[in-house]
Amino acid sequence: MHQQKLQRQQKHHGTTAARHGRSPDFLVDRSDDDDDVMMAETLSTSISPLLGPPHNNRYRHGMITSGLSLMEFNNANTITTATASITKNGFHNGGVDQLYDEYNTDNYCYGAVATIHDNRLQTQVEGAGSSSIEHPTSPTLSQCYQSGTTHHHPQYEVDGVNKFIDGRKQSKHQDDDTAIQQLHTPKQPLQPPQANNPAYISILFGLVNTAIVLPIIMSFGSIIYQHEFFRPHLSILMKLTVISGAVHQLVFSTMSSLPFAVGQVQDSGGFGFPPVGFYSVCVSHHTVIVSLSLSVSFQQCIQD
Amino acid sequence: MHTGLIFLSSMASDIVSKLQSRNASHESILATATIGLSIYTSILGCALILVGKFHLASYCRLLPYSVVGGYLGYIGFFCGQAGLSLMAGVNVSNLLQWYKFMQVDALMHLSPGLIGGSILYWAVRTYRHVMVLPTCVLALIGSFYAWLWMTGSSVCNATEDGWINKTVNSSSSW
Repeated sequence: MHQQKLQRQQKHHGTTAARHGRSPDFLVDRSDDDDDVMMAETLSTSISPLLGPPHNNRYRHGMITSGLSLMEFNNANTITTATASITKNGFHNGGVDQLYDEYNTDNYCYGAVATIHDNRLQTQVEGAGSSSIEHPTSPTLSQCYQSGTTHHHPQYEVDGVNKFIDGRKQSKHQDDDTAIQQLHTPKQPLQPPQANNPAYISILFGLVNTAIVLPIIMSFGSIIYQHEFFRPHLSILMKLTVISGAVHQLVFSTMSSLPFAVGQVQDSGGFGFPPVGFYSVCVSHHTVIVSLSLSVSFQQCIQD
Repeated sequence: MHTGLIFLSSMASDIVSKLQSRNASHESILATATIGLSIYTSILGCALILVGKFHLASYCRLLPYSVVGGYLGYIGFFCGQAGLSLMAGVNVSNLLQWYKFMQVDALMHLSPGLIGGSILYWAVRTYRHVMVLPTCVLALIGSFYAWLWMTGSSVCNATEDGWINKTVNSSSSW
């Protein structure tokens, strides 16, 4: 029976590792028990995407010190809830606390939190089996990243811990299906932290981007209109190119679903105005009209 | 990325060449080139919208790495060659014409740009800060005009010497 369990978990580890990849540069607490070790490996594999590149210390620092998350593993025959700790930030819990260990019930494995230390020398486990949160409120990831602090507990991750604790309490009195459903259903959808920069920071970034992009756009305009025929009119063609870049960036910033979207005319093949039609058919139609009208204006300007 | 840099440059040059061979007027060539490029990029935008609408983007993964890498490599080569051509003030369109960069006047115009580019590369690689690149760009521009001031040259002289593009006087205020 135990051998079958190990085989299932090994298969599950392989599936999870293939899905998420594996980061070798962090530690997960392991108990002496083989099952706990296997579970810790599973959790470490699953949480590894949160840790980022192993050599990006700042990013890794923020993510590792935050590293609490509720994970769901499919294709596993073990229902397991595991806890762990982050010693540096006041999360005290040791090893893996296995609550459920049943076979042939549901194909889910619930692993909650793994112990992660961002310093290999600080791997001491305190209070094995217990769980506490000393800092329930914390800055967001973006604030943490900007300030350089290492104390970061995103709210949704703390919610994940609370969800785990509540689920563990309730699961003692309810049947397994209900407990699984409560553990599985998040109280709040997991959302990535939203950037909330002050206005002056945004303006500063805009000025920095302008200083970088303006010469680039002008050089690209020179490359596009590099034929000798265009040389006498290169000045106004440069202006046309810069306006194209401004319109393009405006549409990128306002219409893209990515908050950090940056696009310039060269990104879409547009040293005319049409690149703005990238994300919307409507915008594309308007683009043709705008480009034609501006080209006519440009033509009149040349003739004058 | 940078599709316009290569294709639109080629299209603009082809439009000019073909219309000049048909003895088209100056205004007609200019209008055809500018409006034509706008229409072509509009078609590109519509095509990309259709690709997204019909979920065809996944087929992009069928492109071999050699094709994608080769295209990216050509973009780098094209940009580098165009930058050198722009600095040197000579028209170079392929490797066989690179001998034009070896002329004394071309080398004189190339040397500040190459030194500035090397400094930019070194600074960006050495100092990992968001302000490094814009500071270097502004510093290079400031250094150029400081050099003009120190040598007693004017912008007109620099334009005549080929350091700044010659353009026709425009009546527009922008």
